[in-house]
Amino acid sequence: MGKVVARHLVSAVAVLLVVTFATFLLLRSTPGNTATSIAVRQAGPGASQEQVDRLHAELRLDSSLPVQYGVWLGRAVQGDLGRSDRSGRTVTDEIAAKAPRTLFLGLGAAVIALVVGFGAGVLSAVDRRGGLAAALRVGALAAVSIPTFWMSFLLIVLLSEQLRWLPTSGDRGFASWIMPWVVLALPAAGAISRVVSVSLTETMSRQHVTAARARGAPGWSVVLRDGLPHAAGATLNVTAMHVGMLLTGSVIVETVFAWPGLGAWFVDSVKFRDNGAVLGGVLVFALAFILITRGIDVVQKITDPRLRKAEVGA
Amino acid sequence: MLVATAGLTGCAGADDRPDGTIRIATAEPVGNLNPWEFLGQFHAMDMVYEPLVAYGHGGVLEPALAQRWDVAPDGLTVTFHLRDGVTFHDGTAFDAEAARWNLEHWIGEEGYDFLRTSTVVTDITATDDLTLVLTLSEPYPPLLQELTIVRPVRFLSPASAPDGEYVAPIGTGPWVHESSTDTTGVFVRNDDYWGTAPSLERVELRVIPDSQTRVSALRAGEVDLIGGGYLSPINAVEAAALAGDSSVTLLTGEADTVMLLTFNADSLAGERAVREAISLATDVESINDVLYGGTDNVARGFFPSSVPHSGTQRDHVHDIERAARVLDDAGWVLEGDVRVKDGRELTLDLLLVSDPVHGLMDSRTTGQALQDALAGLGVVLVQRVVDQAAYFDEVAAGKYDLAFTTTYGAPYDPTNTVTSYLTTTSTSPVWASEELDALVEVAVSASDADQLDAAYQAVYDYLDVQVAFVPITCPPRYYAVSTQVRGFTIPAHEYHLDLTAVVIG
Repeated sequence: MGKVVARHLVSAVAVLLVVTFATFLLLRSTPGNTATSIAVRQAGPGASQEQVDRLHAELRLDSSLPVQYGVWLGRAVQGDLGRSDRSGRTVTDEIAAKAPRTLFLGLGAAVIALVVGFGAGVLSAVDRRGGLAAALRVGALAAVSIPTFWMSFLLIVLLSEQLRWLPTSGDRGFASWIMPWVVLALPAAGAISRVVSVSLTETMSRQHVTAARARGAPGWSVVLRDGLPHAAGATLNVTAMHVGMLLTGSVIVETVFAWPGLGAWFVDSVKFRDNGAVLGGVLVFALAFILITRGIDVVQKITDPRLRKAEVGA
Repeated sequence: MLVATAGLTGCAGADDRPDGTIRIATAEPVGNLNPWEFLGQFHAMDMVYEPLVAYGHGGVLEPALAQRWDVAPDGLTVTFHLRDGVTFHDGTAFDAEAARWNLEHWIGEEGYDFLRTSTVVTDITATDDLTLVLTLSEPYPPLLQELTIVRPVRFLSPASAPDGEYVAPIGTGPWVHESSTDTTGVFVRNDDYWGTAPSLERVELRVIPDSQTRVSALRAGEVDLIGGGYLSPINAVEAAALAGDSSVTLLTGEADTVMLLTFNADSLAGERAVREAISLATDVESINDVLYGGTDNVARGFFPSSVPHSGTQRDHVHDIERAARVLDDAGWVLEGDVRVKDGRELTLDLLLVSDPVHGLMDSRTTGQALQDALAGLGVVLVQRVVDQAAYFDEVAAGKYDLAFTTTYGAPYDPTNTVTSYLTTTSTSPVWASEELDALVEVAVSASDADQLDAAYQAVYDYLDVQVAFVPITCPPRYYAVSTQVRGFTIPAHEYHLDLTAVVIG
């Protein structure tokens, strides 16, 4: 057990190092830099070259890539992610303020995606040849295909402008959470429902299910006891992928619904070439992905004894 | 589920306005309001901090914290007579010593030299409680106008920076900062304000980054005011939609900026004939009609006529046949679909910004229109869309042939756009040459009105001869308010909101 944990820790640290260094390389190789962004903010688009050069020197953007990365890494391991050049606040303060909002948005959406996705998937598998299944298939396809920003505006126009049931934006209580959650959840719910439906349909045609039916077990009991657990493996994989995407894919939702979370902050930081903030954001997102995928691994091992055996064997 | 939940929550947003409060949408959070830094939202700073001199409609300089001022005949001394009885929000007196202390934070300091005031003022003296004297190394007539901008020229209570380090936003303005977060900013009326205090008691800035959501929030009754170039911009398409909406009032103000098509003189566009042909091929009327809210907005000069000393406005000539003749005469021969000269194809790189902020306009659709127009002429235009940070770097590095830019607008113009876009020291010049440097220097040094008009006209004439740019559009200044808002008028410039006469209900 200890060895397994140690192996996971080492691989997590390696992933974080690779991801942050790659981000550093990308930031340096992309046109645009923090000095220019600050100069334009101070003096407008016609800022003087002298001003840009001075900021360049102040921010030590001239030093070599390994030196810059080394300095950042040295501080990061001590918990100091530096200061955001865009806002003047420390990156850790920014993350502390914004991460809970994104987490709240992502978790709410994940719950909706799982409940709706599983529900629709099971219904679709049970009623395989009926009209309901066809409608759910179309619904799932629409949920996956409709662009998030368009769906957001449709809902805002209908539910806020026309009916005035929900606020357009902001974080002002439960009513204001519904639209962002739903919009963020829909593509994931659509994908999960299709995977659940296909795996369950496949499982339901297996011999053990036929045997259960032959024993006279009620229909729903067969689905829940003999079908779903066997369909769980593939479903967990797609769920893990989409929950991860909920965290990082919240940019549009955060912007449209004025929800100042990590996603929109990260994109704005990239646009400003706010290097410290970008690296801080990448670190958090990478960490979140690692935790989610490892978490799903654990759940899969709990639900599938074959995986536990494989680990012991290894 | 949606319907069921909505039924429980009832109407949300529209009725959450406390009495005497106006809710204003802002695209950016209030941020850090340190007056000497460049981090905070302009309007929030403008509500809290005041200048010595205010920028009025049409560029008229008006008394603010200085009741009057005298400029010495040699232009080397400017004396400000400060208003008596003004106090900061913390009760500290605003006097000549407080003013001097503030000015010394940025005048002569590195990092503020983009304002020439910072480099020409050599001494700041408080000769008595209400008299402040600035000594200059050379006459600089635009100094008074430079003192009207939002940062870093305004005044913080010295008690709010006890060790010289900013602590909290304490100014003399009509609004006192109460609180701000990433989502809101709350300001309450300064009941001890030296001028006419606003009727409203409270201003709530609500941060809504997306412009379409802001329009919806106004229509849904969640905010009372949107608009302004920096506050919460409304584009021409949204303005057209709002104009036909009886639940809101759209106000349209005269433009103070121009979007220009600019050329890189070190590229193929460095050849005058190429620039002239592109100018003649650009159908500015149609571009405005389709993309920018109508032909009334066609630009006719480097500045719109609302900017002081904007010079003669000239109608743009659109003549595609003449454009072809100009290129023929210059030796650009049509070979198939593209013109060629000395074995080189006339292919130009148009740099476009994907995320235009900081006063730049969205020019991507104009780029497409231009690409079509030039294709018919045998000029291949390659559109290259980059983000803003990359755009400024690419322009500074000269990695473009054509680009769009926008002038600064009030209260900066004409001086700041001219010195920033028309001089050899700029990172992103619209046009730069030593000859033009000299003309610009004459213009910014001129002091009387006739001299100023003539000097600026000389700059515009020079640019005209060079075909240094193509003026595209003068975007109107849009604001939209709910029908409950009364007394709101378009402010003198886009960094200011005058809420003094505004009432709700």
